[in-house]
Amino acid sequence: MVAALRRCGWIMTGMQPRPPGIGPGVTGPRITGAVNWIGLWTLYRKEVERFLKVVMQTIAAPVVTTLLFFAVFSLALGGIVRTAGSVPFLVFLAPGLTMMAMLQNAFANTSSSVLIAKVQGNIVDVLMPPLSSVELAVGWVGGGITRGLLVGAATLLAIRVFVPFGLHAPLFVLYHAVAATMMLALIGVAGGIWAEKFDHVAAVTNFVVTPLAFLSGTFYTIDRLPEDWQVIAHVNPFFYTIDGFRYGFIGQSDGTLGIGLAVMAAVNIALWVLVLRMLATGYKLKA
Amino acid sequence: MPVEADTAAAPLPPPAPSPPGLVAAPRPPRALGPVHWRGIATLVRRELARHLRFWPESVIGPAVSMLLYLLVFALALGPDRATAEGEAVLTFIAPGLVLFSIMMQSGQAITFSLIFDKLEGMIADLLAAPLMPSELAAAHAAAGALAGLVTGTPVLLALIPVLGLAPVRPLLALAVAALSALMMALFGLLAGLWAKKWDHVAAVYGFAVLPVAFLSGLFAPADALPAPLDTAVRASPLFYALDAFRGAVTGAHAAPLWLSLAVLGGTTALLWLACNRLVRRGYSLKS
Repeated sequence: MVAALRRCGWIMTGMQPRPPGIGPGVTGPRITGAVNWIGLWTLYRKEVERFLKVVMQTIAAPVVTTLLFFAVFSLALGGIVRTAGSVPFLVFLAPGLTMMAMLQNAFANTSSSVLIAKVQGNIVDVLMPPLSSVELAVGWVGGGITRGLLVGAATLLAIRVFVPFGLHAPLFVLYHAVAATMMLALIGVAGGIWAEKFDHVAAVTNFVVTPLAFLSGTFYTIDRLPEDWQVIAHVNPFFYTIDGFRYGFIGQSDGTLGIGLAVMAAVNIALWVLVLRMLATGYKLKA
Repeated sequence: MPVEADTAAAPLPPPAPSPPGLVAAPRPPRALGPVHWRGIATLVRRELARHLRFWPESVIGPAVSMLLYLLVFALALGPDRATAEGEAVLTFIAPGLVLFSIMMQSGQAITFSLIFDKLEGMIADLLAAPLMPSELAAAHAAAGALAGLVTGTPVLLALIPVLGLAPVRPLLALAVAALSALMMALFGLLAGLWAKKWDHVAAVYGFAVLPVAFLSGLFAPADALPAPLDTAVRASPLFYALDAFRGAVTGAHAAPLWLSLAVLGGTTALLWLACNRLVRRGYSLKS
């Protein structure tokens, strides 16, 4: 893919007619096609390398924390809560915890990337290059999805060592993994653009993302909630991310699967519209 | 050189002449007693103000996440919550969570402040102040302990009505909390001295403190751990801190209280000696 993109850019440069007076060996301005592939790829790579540079904090730490949660829940509740629905409690817990880590890290990646760039002033480095708002958003969101999926894969592999669980519907797992990390990456971009200081992002993390990820069925089946909370759970997109992802592993879900797929798609479309609008109008970035 | 001439600072204005009739009598240097109390108080106030300035993150955030932990455990227990076993799980977890948030904030407040000062170069302001190394260390330790206690109080106050969890021996609870907070503040000072960048701080808390605390009887009795770990955690001072605090709040404890207090006191004294020595040597401060 890299080679293909490079070649693509090279061909464009090569076909470029030289302005008069510029001799061989000097290239003219590069003409980008409908999509600036090189720019998009560069931004994406920058986003990925940004978190890989501190891989201990961005991948290893969340995996360790998630494993600790897993250990703690099995120690504290293992004796009392043996099953959730018809599966062993630990098998039920594994996908939920994994999804929780994915959600938190997808959000953390884009929100911190955008906010740090804003605070440090190097946001101009991504606003100046010839990147459209769509390319900008795709690059940022791609970085968030990548981090979320990496954390998810590492967590699953680590938990798999202790608790054997099967794979019921791989496509469900894939769809919900990508849709959920995309949703949180988009929320992270919107949050990072909106926030003016680190407190704002910390507040969104502490009071919105973490509570929603915690309380949306990571640790329990929804029927354990009081009646009116169950209604709230069924309009909460976080619930569908965890529920659908878990269905892919254990073949059992709390909500309706079709509704889950639709809600994820609808929420993502709405968030794309919001983020693209924010970028196109330059809200808090250019204004 | 023209470049230098361009950027040279404007010449300083001549010193203002003293008003006639007013003789500038040089003030004698302020006499300091054996302990520079005012300096210590100033530093404590500065550190505490720094911690409380970000109160949504440093006070409300931990309170919310502790309540979330508790809520999640309660919901995961589901119908078992009403049973004696379920009740026991929640009363076991609650006091531990309070002390855990106190200790984490005590340690982190000092580590964050120290690494920030070191990286920004502001540490010179501290080193240039007329404070002895022991005064510097004492002020940081006291500020950290106070910061932790300030954080823990709302959590405790929130838990009392929710769980009907009034401390059995309030004075002992306060003493254990204060001693544990002091211990962690000194640990935080040590970690802050050692750390050279933010990654180090994240590693200390993410890969050392958090796992040890999680397994040191925070959520489940140490006896519930698998074979080598159940005796290993008894080497961790955090185990004794959590156990003694739980003993003071609920009346049930695994280790004798005198032993817990002795371990806490001993660890605090050792950490104090280490911090004092390192600050005097200027380890990672003056080198």
